[in-house]
Amino acid sequence: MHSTDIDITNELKNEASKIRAGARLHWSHWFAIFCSACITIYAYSVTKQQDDRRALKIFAEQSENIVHLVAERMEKYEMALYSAKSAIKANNDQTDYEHWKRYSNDFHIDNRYPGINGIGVIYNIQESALSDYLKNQRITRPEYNIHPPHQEKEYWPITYIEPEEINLKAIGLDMAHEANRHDAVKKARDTGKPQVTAPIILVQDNEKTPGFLFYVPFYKGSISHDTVEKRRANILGAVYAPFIFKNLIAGTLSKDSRGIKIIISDDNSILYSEALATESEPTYNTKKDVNVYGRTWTFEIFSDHTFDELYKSKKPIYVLLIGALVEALIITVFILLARANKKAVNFAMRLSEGYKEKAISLQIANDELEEFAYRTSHDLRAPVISSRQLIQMVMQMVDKSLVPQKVPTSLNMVDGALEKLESLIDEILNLTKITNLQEDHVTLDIKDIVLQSIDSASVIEGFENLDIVVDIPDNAKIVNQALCFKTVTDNLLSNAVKYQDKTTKSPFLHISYEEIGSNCKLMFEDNGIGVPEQQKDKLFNMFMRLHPRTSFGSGLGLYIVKKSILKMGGKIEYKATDEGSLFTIVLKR
Amino acid sequence: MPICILIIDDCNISRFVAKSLISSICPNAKILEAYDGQEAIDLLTSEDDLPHITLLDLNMPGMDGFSFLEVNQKAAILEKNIVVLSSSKRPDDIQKCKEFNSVVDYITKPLDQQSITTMINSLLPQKMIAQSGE
Repeated sequence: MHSTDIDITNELKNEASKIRAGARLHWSHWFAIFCSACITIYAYSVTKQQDDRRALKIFAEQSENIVHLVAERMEKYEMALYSAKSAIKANNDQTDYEHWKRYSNDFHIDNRYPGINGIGVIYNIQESALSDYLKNQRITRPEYNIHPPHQEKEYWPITYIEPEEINLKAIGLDMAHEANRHDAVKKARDTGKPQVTAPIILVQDNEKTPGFLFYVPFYKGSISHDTVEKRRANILGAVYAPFIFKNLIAGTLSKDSRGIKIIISDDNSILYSEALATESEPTYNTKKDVNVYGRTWTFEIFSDHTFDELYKSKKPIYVLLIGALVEALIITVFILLARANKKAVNFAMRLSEGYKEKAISLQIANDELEEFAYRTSHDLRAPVISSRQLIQMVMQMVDKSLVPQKVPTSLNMVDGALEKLESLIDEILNLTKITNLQEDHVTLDIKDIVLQSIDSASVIEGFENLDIVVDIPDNAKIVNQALCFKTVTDNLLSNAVKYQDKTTKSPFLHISYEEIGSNCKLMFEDNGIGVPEQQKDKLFNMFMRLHPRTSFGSGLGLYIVKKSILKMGGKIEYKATDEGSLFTIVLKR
Repeated sequence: MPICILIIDDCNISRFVAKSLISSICPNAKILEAYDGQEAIDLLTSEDDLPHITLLDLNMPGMDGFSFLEVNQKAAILEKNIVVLSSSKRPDDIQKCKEFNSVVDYITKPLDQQSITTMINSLLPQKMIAQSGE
């Protein structure tokens, strides 16, 4: 092949492999995919942060609100107790069963103060005054008694409590019998301020849930009691309200869809708990200590799953899903593009392959033409030059009146050279004819044609020495181009005659025929001088003369044979045998 | 010692002409002939005395002139006085031949009396030519 062909082919290959590489997903694609993934993750995290902040804000607001509501409620109760105290003060520090009942009924605490269990009066009774106190009470309530017994030197019995029915167990209960109740009431007495107890269980609460008491102390007279001593000296008792904590909360906070749970404790003792053992780790939680009338209540507030459902939007998840979807789309588009690109490249390669083949065949034709022109000019010139030289020599001899024996030899040689020239011109014409002839397909009788060729070859020197065996059935027929076929058989026959091995006793040519499927094989086997091993590949080339001393022909014979066979759509193979040569022609039947 | 000239050419007319022309100048010259490069190599390796001048054709069946020059160079048989005698006027061929050190001249056919005389005179000492004369 011509060197520019190789260049073009390599260039094409490089270009193609570059484009092919482009048809794969390479780093820029992966970078785009990576960037898109980063954007998705960033958008997700931003959205999630916003969402978290919003939810956290809601949680903080709600937590505040809960604490605020509880504190506000407690203030209301404080007001209720102050007004009860005022009722007593307004009645000259006096109250009795009927008075308290009227006041309380009028007050409608169950309606106005949901969560409160009742409102009552506790008197501070010294040991010395106990019997008078009891006597006094038993005037209206003969069965009234103080309980349970204790070791203290003073008594803080619940004297009146309304509504009476639900608080029956509390009537006559002495605050001094139990530390939490007693300490708180003493503290109220000493400070003169409202006071709640540490967690207790109310005697009237059948469910035994945590609760507390809320005291507001009252003193003799209307003067101010600015010292502990004065307050202790003048204490009369306290108005009080008992609370069951869960009722307080139920009256204060509406539980509906809060999504928030609380635990309220006082000094590690649980007052109220909404926590369930099954609850998983809360998303948000907070802890607040609140001072409630002499006690510190700890509010532990945490979100539950309903909070997450209510306030945590699905936005971040949607962002993530949409991002993933976009990612998938991008990848799909890239893959589709790459696939389309690959297809285009393959298509282009197939196209260019066709052009390349054409270019190569054109190049081959061109090379052949060049070679032909060069060789023809050489071979045509050679006999002319020789003849002229010989003629000049002869003329010189004639000039010098020398007519030696060389003259006839020279003239013979001129004749030979011209004869060679004639046969070369014939062969060139033959080749031109074969190359350009548009021949119709006709039915060819193979045996007949081979016999004709043998007849034509019979004029060649040495024919009579060659033993030709024709082993072709009478009915062997093919449909092809007559002149081409005849050219082939003529050439192979004349070669067999010309190139027989003169040293062999019995030179032969065996022509045989075989049918294989849709093909037929025509074989020419001889024991001639054969083809030198190193020249085998060039056997069918133009102007290929193989044998220096037995160089009869133009070197076009086998080239013409090959051209003819190709024109007939067949092929020819040469094989060296033990004795000589075997030419095998394969043609369609 | 008479002049010894080797003619390598497949064309019998060319050899005949060259032989005749050389004989007309140096009748006693010893002339060796070969049909192609291979035959020439065989001849040179068997012969004791190497030729003084070798006339080499390029276009030959079997081993051609260029192949002969290559083989000759590798085997270092003839180191000088090869005269290429070809009908080719292609500059490529001329250039290619001149690249071999052993090639001293390139003559295009036809060979005439003048050019063969010049060739022998320029390549060989006068004394030797005289010895080969009559």
